[in-house]
Amino acid sequence: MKSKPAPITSLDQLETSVRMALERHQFKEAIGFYKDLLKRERRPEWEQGLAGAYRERALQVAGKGMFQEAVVLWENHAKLSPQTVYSDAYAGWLLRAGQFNKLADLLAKTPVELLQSLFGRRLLEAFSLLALQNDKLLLPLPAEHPIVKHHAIARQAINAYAAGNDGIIDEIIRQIPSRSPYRNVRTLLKALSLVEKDRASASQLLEKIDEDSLCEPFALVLRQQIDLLGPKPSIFFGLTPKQQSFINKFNAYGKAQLNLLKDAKKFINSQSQKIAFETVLDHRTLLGEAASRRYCLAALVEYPSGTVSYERGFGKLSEFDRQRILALNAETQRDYYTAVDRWHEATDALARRPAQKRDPLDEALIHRHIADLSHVPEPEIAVKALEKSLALDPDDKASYSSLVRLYEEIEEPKAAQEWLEKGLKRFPRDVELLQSAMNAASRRKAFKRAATLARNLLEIDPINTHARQFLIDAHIGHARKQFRAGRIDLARQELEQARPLDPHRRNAALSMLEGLLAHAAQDEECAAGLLAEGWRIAGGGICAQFLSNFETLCLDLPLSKTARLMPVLDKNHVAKRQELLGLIKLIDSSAGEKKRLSDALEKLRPTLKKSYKQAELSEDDFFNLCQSFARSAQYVSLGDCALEASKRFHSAAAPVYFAVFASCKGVAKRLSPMDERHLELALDRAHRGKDHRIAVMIENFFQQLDESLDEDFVEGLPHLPFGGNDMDPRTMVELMKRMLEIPKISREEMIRRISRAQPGLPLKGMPDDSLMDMMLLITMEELGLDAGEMMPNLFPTQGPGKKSSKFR
Amino acid sequence: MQTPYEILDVAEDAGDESIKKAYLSKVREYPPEKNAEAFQRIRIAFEQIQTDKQRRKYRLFHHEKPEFEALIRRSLRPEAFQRPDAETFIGALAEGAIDELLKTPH
Repeated sequence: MKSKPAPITSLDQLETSVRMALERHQFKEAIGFYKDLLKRERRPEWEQGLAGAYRERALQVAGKGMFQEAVVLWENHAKLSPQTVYSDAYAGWLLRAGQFNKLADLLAKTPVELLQSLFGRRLLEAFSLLALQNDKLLLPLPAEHPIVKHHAIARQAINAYAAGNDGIIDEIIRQIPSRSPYRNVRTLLKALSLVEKDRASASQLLEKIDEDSLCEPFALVLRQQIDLLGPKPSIFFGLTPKQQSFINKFNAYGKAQLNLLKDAKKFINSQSQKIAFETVLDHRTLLGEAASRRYCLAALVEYPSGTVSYERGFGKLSEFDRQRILALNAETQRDYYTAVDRWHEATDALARRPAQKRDPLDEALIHRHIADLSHVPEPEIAVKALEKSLALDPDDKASYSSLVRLYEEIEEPKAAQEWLEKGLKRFPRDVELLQSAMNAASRRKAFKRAATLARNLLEIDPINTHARQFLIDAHIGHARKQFRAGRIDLARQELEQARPLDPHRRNAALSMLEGLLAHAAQDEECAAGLLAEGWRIAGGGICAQFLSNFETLCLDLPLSKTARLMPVLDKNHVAKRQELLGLIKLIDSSAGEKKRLSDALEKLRPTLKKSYKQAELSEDDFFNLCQSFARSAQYVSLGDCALEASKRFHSAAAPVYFAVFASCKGVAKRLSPMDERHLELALDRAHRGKDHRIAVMIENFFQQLDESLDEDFVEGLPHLPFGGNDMDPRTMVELMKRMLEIPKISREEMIRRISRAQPGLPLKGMPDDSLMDMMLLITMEELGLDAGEMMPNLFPTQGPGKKSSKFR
Repeated sequence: MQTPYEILDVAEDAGDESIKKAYLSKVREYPPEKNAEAFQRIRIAFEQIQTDKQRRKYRLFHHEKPEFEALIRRSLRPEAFQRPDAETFIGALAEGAIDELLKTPH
């Protein structure tokens, strides 16, 4: 057992103890020590010390919400410090402790001049209102106290308002002066007595209540009622119970409204979607059937388990609505695969409706939505959805463009072309479709068609720079060909057709070609002028030199012959950043002539290498240059550029990738083990540096490597299972990958997918193995394989000539 | 969250014309140079339900609920006013006053 400490006996010891207790803010102990000291001797400094300790302890216990104790301690303090007259803190504790009589005593002995703080002014106002409830509180106050002076008049005015004696209210409240603590009650009464006659004036009067008045928040709520807005639940429940009761009576609420408010409070306190849903459902008659139905239907997306209650209240949901809600719910969970499946179910439900009730536009919109959800993860589903949408609503221009873009992405140019033609047939003057058609024609080298489309485009949109540039490039390309074939006149004709498309003479290549043709016609003066013009338009420097080399090579002319006709780049020239960035555009537009482009760059190699070293190029600039060389398969230049970039930016991943890409000439299969290791490290660095751009490029390159290895693997197989020796190797690899995934799929998911592919099968009692077999069949069908033929034992065909399985 | 119909203050079965009219009236009330944020909300709401196709899209793919509080508040709009008795009036004032006073810093 812990022994009790020996009592402190000496004064010195007690004084030390009191000092230490004060330093530690142990005011309760300090009070004890001071009392002990004062028992020995009544020294004034100890009395003052005790008073101070009482005050500090009072503040301490008030901070813990012990207001009664705080009041007692403060009073002890006041007894020892008679100079203490009034304190906001003490008045506040009296209020909180509900000791209104003591508060009245305090106000009685406190001169009104001491109550000028915000709290003091508000205390006077609060006490005057309390006194309206309880007259006895006025007893300690002198007759001339402002609270007492106008008390009876204020009370009289309130009685007159409640009794509806509006005729005398004005006369009564006129007796309350504007310095009285009842002045805001005066304004309030005046406003309320006007409500029935003149709502606007009543509302304006309420605005005149003092901003710092205790009545102001209540006046604000009253104003909202007068403006016929109804109480905002979150604010209403912030009011005191008696204020709420006033509003209920003022607004003449019946049982239904009061019950609604009671339930709304549950939501305000919990913020639970379930409670909100149930409140709206339960009070639908008061809230309005249509608005409640809309609310609950929307709420089901976040609260699907409310479906049963919803159906009890509003009737059965249609199959379409049910699937739509589940689809939207899946979207909110970011589960896009389920969302797509549910949307499919929803369109199926719409399609099952009788013809007169079908709404093809809604169906089309849902198919488009499916395409939006699936175009990234599953473009094949997206194209099917868009095709269905166009069958239902063929007037949606944007869908044609999206469909064409998607078919191009999944490398199905035939289908892309087919839809482009369909789109153009329907919208022959649509700029976007025409531009896509022009690009597509150009890609498949149908230049005549592309040129026709470009001309159509220019007719509709004369400032379309894309079409204009395309036509100029087409004429330039033809002119080069004609020149090389010795048909100089035809070449000139091509350039003459190109010239009106460049009325402001901004195309350097065109001027240079015109110059070279003039040279061929031995008009040296004209040739020199045009070549100088081309050089100037190209901006001089490395771009002009590149272009002059390239155009000369494109006409199969020796560079030495034309060199004397135009300015020549100084051997010591170092290209600035702007020149090098300008070169990117020229390289991109010359990519169709790989060999000549390579020769033109070779001539510039020493200047370029010097320039990479000295030009002020950022990491991004190097990236863009490298990317341009990579795009146009200029691996020598790419190697030079990547090497310099890696010297300049040691920790960057991009130069490593481009250097490796150059060394294996863009073919992943040629990667050496060392290069592969370098790329892995660069990928890791790219991920750590959050350089997503280069990370994706490296990952794609690795994927290319994997695919090439897959092909080698399949080619190396002695005999393929499922009789699939004739199968496309990629399909084979894809099938094997998907087969490995099947055992990981849950039973429920398998049943769902199979029912989707083949509705009506009795799947519930089916063993897992059979479900997996069916999943395999679905997978094969998705890949366009004939399961019946490949696995006759598993899926016997139904008769001669029938291609597929028991499914069909 | 308010629905575009609530923002533009139009019925859910409103057609192109009345939606455009409501939009223009709201823009006059909240011009972009005076209240850019409100204007932006109004503009987005209009774009969401401007045409029949957009309204269908909104109906099919959006699930913003009408605001719970707004819904409750609309049905609690007072139709007529009554005069509470003097004690209810004084009680509301006194209780509210103490509540407010205790929030006052001292």
